[in-house]
Amino acid sequence: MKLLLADDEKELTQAVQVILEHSGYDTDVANDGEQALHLAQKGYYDAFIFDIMMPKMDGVEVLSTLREEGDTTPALLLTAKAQVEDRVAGLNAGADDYLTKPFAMKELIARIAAMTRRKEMMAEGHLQRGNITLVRSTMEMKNDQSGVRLSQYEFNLIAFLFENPNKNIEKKGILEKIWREEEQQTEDCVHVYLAYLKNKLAALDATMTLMEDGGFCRLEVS
Amino acid sequence: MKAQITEITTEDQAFYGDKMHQILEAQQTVLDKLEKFEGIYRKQTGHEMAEHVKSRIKSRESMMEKCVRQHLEPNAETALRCMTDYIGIRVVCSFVKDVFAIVDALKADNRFEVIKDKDYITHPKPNGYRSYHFIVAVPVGTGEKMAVEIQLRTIAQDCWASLEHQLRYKRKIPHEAMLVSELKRCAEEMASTDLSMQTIRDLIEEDSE
Repeated sequence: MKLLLADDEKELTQAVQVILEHSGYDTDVANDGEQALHLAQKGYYDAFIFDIMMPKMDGVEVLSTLREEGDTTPALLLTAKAQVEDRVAGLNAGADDYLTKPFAMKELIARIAAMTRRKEMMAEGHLQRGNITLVRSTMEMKNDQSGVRLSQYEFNLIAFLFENPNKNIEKKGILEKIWREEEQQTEDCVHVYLAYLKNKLAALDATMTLMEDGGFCRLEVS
Repeated sequence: MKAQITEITTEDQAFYGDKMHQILEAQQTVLDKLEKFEGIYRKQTGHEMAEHVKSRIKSRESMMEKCVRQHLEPNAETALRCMTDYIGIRVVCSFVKDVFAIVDALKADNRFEVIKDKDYITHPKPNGYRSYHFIVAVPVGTGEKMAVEIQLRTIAQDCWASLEHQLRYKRKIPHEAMLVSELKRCAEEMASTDLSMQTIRDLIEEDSE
């Protein structure tokens, strides 16, 4: 795991870097906003830790520039003042989390772990329920012997249901979540895609049931 | 339903001798059953049971070759005793559910004793091959029983099997492992499309009910 730590307080930064490296994170350090932006644009990181108050460019500015450029790396902002406005501005600029200075190292490490874990689960996702595994990289739904390749909407829908088993989920909510770019779609398409998935799960001898009841659906996993 | 039956050569006739009569009788029994079920299925569901049905008696040449390969006497008597594929019928259906409907109908006929039952549709072979294979023992007039091998699959499964077969006999190929897994991926994509088409038919019918 590789982190980018940006803060102008050199002594503190050095101490944090040592502890992070000791905890298994490869850590690059920047001492002002411009340098942080430059490093982030040049290299790949698993997470950013930016102080808000930095010379040349503040942490919020750096982050919003990166977000505008399409960078989705998880980011945590460090703030000296526990001002509500500050935190809100940071989160609105695309931060995933923030921490108020002074902070306990333990808490920083726990927050980095939580943030990168979330991202990893979304990206790699070998999601497993019962005898069925979903492989995001190949959009495959398989049992231990064989599988079927799903279309993008089928995959996103079943992945969402795998993440939310045994819950009654409104089809309207699914439509908004999975088909968000296609405004003219109606709940009918959720119905059709659930029907595809039901048949494909059955063909794989799945040990789970996909149920539909009016405006709701539910993936029943025992 | 008009089954396409491969013609029997004089060589085949000579090889199977007077057993040919029973062989043809068993073949016809199964084909008649399929034809009868086709009428019932069309009435019940409005669907064609199958896209096509083909039947063949294993040729003298390939039967003798197979006997030799298995260190058996290459004659009709051994073939009928040890082999189960001298009569082969292939049913190719449009949709997955049609395949299983035919399987159920054949199994429900108590004249046919199921000897071997392999569902490679629910449990595909490691290379991606999908098909329903089963072998039944069919009684004939002499009181004997003849084995009939029946293979059922969808058009998409048939298409994959036929293309894969053509690729398989090429000699040494570069990136073999990768291409084998790519062929499997193709089988899985076709299986997925098969099930999507089945679902669309189900949904159309659900709405018209």
